[in-house]
Amino acid sequence: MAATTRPTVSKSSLLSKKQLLLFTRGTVFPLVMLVGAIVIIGLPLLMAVLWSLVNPDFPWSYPDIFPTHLSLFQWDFVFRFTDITKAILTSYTIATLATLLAFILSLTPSYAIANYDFPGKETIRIIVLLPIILPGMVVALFLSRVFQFLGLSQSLLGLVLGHTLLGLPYMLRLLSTSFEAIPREIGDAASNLGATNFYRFRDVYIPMLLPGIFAGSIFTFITSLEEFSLTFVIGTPTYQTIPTILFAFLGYHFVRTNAAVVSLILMVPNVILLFIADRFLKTDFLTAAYGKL
Amino acid sequence: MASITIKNLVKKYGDTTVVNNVNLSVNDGEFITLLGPSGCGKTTTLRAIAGLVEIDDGEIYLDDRLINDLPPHRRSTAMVFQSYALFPHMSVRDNVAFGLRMQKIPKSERDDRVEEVLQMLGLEELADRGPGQLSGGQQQRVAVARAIVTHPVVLLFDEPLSNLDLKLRERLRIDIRELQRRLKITSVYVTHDQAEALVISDRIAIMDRGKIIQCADPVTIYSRPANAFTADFIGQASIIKARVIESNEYGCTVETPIGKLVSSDRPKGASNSVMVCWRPEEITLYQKEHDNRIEAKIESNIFMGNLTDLFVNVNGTSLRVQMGGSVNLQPGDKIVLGLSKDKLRVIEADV
Amino acid sequence: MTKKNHTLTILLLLFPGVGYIALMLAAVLVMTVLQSMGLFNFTGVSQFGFQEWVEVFNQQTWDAFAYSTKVAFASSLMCMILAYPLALFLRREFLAKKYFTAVIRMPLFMPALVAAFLILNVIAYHGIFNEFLIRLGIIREPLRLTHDDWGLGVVGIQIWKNLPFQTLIVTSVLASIQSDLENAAKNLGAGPWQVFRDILFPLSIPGIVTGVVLVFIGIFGDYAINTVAGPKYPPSLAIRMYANANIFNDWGQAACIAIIIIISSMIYTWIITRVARFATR
Repeated sequence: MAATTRPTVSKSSLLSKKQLLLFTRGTVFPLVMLVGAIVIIGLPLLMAVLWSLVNPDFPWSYPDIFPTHLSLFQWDFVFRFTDITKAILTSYTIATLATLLAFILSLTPSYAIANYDFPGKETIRIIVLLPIILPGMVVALFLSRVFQFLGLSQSLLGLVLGHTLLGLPYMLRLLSTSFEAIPREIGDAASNLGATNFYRFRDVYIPMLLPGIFAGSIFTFITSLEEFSLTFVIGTPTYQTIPTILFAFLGYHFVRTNAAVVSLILMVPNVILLFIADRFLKTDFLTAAYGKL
Repeated sequence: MASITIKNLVKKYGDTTVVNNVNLSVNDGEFITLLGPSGCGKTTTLRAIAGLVEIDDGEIYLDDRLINDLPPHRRSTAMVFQSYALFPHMSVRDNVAFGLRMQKIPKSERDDRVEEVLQMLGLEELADRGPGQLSGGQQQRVAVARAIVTHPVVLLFDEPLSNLDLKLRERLRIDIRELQRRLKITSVYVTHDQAEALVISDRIAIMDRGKIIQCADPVTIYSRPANAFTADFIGQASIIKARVIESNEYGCTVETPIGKLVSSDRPKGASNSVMVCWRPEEITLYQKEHDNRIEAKIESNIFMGNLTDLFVNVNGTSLRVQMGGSVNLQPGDKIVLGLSKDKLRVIEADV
Repeated sequence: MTKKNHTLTILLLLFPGVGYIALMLAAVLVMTVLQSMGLFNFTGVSQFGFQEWVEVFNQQTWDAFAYSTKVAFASSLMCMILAYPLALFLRREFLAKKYFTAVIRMPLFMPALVAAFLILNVIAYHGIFNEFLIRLGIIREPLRLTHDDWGLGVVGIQIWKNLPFQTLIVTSVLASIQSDLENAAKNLGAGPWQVFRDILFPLSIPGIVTGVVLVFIGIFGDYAINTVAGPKYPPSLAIRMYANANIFNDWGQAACIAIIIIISSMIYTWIITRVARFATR
């Protein structure tokens, strides 16, 4: 940055050209950007919230900018007359099971990736990333075919297995980053003091890994909650999750108010969970999860 | 080539004042070193000259020109960075040519000047390599080449040798000084290595906690340190508290834990509480000519090759005495030491 | 531990997670390829051969392919054009930076469907965006931005959704560039534009490329957003694939399109990395 002396506001000429320029640069511009950001990001959200609060007796239509009366009718409606409650249950059940499974499956591979060098490590890194890189609908469609062949179609097990597949890349990445952060010697010290592999894991590694486990779990959980393509192809119509219900309201029966309500249901837990993650963990995890540089 | 004048420079980071009212004048063609421990503000001062740091108060002049509001790319103050900061995606040649490109020097002149500088620093064979393929010393030379090819009016060095091993450092610092003498560019050099500063500088400005303590040529700094800090930072010093008993125009007498001593120095301030200091190599075995006679007992004898460090005890005070070669004295032996009065300096406790 | 035991141990350790992924994806791949060759036709005749491939290269497939490429290219490009300056802006400290950063990050946590819905709402024919433009007198008739033939709605949604991610990546990459490099450039006379052109940009490309590829491929193979806001014709490649499979029950065709999507993605990845390498020199 240019080294200029910070201007002392001279009492005589309050708005000299240079001070005006600096004021614009330092105050006006960031504020404009902030307002712009709030409008571009916040406005769509606001619209959704408003749509979810529309009073059916006073339909919100053109040319009103905002609905004239608000009510919780839509929320009540959605919860009573759609399958949303079942979908919420299904979503969170699958997410929990998938996260658990992903965690169990990731423990030993992350350890190996972090602590050993072996030929083909780069290939393994790519394989691990594939579920995220491959187009979702492609994997969804043909995995469903495989499941059909195996009799897993339209089954909860199939859904959990599929969601685990999509969550593993995050869990593996975040866990191996965590493992890498543990100095090699700590494990050696534990062995040296008599700990078997089991105790080494349980009493030394796992406590030190907790932030990574936390982060990995959050990402996997959220990925599962948000997952659409796979659930749509494998689960519908037997099993509905929040995203598939939302899709129904967006596609075949476009009911804007229902869609608004479900969108908010889908979003709020995510935001809360990620706020927690952001607060308690370093942001490195964010970039580490998103297929690093 | 230009002179540099810094007036009342102030820089704060949050609540910490890193540069606290620094005043400095550097003459045209002079090589001045900013010397001090880490955190003393020397690098910040250097970067302020380059324009890489926004200052809170003060003025910086190149010759008579106030450059406070000049952005860094318009000052002609080329810098050699501690990390060299060579552009990793460019070859040595392109790195060196960069500044000329920015000055929009036409290609043919550019190429000629680059060649000339590469030869001056012995880099012709490495011209097409990338920085990653060079050793530390080579990278350092490229950094210097890149800076001087732009014909700056001021050269700035930010601890350029601190990442190199000792032998290389000792050789390169002389090379840098020779180069500067040849080119006669005003140079400001930052280091924490006092031996380096003594070897290469026309003048040394010692800094501590944001202030310049003393600014003088190496000999003066070494033999007439202004205070305890300087005495201790440059070379080694034995420093003890003293009380002035008597003083006249030829010197003074002081009472110290190791006895009464005479000095040809006069106390500077009004106070009778002062400190006195001398260099470990200036106190030796007592001879008649010595004005001060000190009886001591050997605590330890440490042979260091070309020197011996003797730690002695005088009435409970530990002193360090340095002698050449090896000394055949053991712990417990008695020794009589002597110190001339012109080697015993009277200094203030702290600025 | 002997060498052989060592390798065995590593394989065993890796197996649960990595093996899980590898096995499932291998199964998917095999199924896709075989179906494209006419096998595994659960309804109808299974006949091994290239007939599916002969059939798939038709006008509709090409239209879908061209459309998907166009949307992916336009969205990624626009997204990067917006993200880079934003990232540069975010390097310094400025008023209310914390709030700005928080707001900018919101779409990061949003699933694609929700993003689609939110933007759909705003840019709908009678939505607030059109209203705003009409009231300002910029246009007289509302613009058709959803289900439009060009795919503007989809592009808008994709840009909105991917901008935070791209910005995050660029910010991260820029932060990893040693700050003294920039200082050295300035010191040698480079003004802000030259610092960007000669130092920041070339050094940032290798890091950004991965992000660009991910975004591009994601948009290219998109199903959900195109269903919700895309044109009736041409559909995206993924929609065409899905329709073939679950509406026309023509899994052979669907499999071929799937393979087309995957191979195109690989080719595009290669192209993008090549271009990046070219831009770095």
